[in-house]
Amino acid sequence: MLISLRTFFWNTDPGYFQLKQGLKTVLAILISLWLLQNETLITKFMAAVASGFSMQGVIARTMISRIKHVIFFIFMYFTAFCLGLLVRDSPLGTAITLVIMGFLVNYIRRFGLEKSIAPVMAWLLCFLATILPFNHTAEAWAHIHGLGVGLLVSALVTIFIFPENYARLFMENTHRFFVELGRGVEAGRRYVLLIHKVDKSQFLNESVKIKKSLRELININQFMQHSQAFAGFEKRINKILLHQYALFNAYTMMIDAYRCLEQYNLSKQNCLQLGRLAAKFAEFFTMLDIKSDYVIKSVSPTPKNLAGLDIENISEVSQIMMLLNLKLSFDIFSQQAGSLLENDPI
Amino acid sequence: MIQFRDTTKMGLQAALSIAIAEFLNLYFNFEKGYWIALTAMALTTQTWGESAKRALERIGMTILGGIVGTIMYFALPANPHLHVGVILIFVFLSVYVVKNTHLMFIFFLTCVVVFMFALIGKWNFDLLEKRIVDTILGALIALCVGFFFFPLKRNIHQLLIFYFNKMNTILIGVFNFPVPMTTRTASDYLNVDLQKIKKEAIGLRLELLFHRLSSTKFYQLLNHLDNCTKYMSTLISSYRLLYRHLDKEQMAMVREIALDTEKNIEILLCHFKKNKENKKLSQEKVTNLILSKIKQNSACFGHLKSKSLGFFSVLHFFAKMNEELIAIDNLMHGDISS
Repeated sequence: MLISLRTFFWNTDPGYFQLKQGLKTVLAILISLWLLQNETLITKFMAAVASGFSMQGVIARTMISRIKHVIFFIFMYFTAFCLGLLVRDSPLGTAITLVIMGFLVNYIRRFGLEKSIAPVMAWLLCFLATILPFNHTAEAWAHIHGLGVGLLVSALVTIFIFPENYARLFMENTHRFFVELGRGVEAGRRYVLLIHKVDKSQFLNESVKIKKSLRELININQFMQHSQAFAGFEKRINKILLHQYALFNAYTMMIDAYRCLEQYNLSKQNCLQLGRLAAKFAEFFTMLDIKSDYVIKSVSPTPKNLAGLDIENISEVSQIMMLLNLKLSFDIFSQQAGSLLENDPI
Repeated sequence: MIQFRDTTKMGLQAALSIAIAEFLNLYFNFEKGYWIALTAMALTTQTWGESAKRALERIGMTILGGIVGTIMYFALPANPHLHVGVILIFVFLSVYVVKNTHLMFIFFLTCVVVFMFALIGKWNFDLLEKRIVDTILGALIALCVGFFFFPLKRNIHQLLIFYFNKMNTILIGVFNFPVPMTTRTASDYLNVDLQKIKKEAIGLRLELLFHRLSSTKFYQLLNHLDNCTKYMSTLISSYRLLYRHLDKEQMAMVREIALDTEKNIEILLCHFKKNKENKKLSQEKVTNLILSKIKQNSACFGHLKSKSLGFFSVLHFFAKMNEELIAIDNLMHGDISS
């Protein structure tokens, strides 16, 4: 049940990473509010805002660099907010500070922060400090511990709650990739066997979704590839990724061939033969498993390539090409599957 | 002329936008005029096309999110705990969608703002109206600054030239050597580039507002580019599997067709670079070759066991790829020559 729930969330559009990030942000805010439950509304407000904002922007992949990022960002956020409080009584001072900060937060992006929203968050905290409804600045300083609590809580949540485990994620992704591929091949089997009875657009929609999902899984694996979590296994990881790309391309080729299948009157025998082969591959991919040392295992044998198709009476070039491409996609499946199971030494 | 990095340009743009926003706020003494600076800052951190797209989304979603948030605020019981709960739900939704859907992100964020302001002060339709006007003003400032002051624009021609150069290099690497390159599928990096172009498509489109390339043509171009990349990826991955099974004659033909395709890409690049050469792309050779070879070898199609049949698939993907290249050239040629 837990696995199916996780698969469901994986399939939701923004994905598992964003779901975790959203939940962690809410958790950080709730902890800050709970810690400051006996404080005034404005202290709680400052803590909640600080938690919510500082949860965003950490893009480091390893634990050590994540800790460095968190410490640097906390310092940056605290300084930005204090700066905002210092100038808030002077409209001109506020304007000048926001202008200079606006330049700086964009300028520092060149130091490895191109994809992080942390610098903008710092500007926003400075901006918020200038507009929060305090009667006078002294009142604001009296609530500054709210900011400290918020920043500290978010730092601890970022580091210790649901930290990204790239090694496990890679294995889960790879397993999901094979399951999705098996589902895609199975959808093709159903289509070819019920060629004139099923809705082509339904099959194509399903294929597009599967293709998108496969592409996303490869992208995430590619993103993680250079993480230090795979030290000692780089060669194997690289090989798995290479095979995933090749399998993805073969699947694309297969869908393209199926796309024009209905134009031709394929014999019942050929349809059955294609269906049988697709069933074997669908089962094979679904049963593939990846172990903790990134070794790929299968309980069913690698299916062999296409045989027994009768195309003697086919003369149309495009129909021959379609069948050839279909054959080629199964050949690539077979070759890649065999190679995947070889599991060379590290 | 001094050359600035993009980050410096963005910094200068942001500083100028905020300065104008703050000046307007101070000069006209707007009530809650700080929204102008906030919007101006938020929209000056990307290319002009992207800023234009986000400005439209921001204005639209500020209006919609503001109205929905305000109605919710008045419809719900005036209980601070309930309001905190609503804020947390909207915070979660904002973070959940921020990377994929900027549109929805702004909608949820505006709802958060409505409830936050209600919690620490007051919120009513008058404030909502002021917020919308300020957002429009901020967006206009950001767009004007982005357009006139160190504009960060993407050059669609340069982008395509870079893309096709990469494509050509990959083709050479795969087909001009006895054994194709086996580093990480170079065409996959091409796919990554294509995804980036497609992701920025709306932004690019807005940058081309005053360009001759019409909207329909632009999306047709993207479509052909997509197909071309797809055929190339399939071609390369199948060639890696098949090249061992090709005989000498077939190998020579594949290399010849690869050379023709490379020439086609080079002619396309010449057209993009506005060189006045009047060469035309051609795919007759490859199409004729497929037809003649299929006729010659019709006997071997009786069964699909022979590995050498892959030769026809390779030719087929070359033919399809060239078809797409010609379509791209036809689309772009009129615009460039004019």
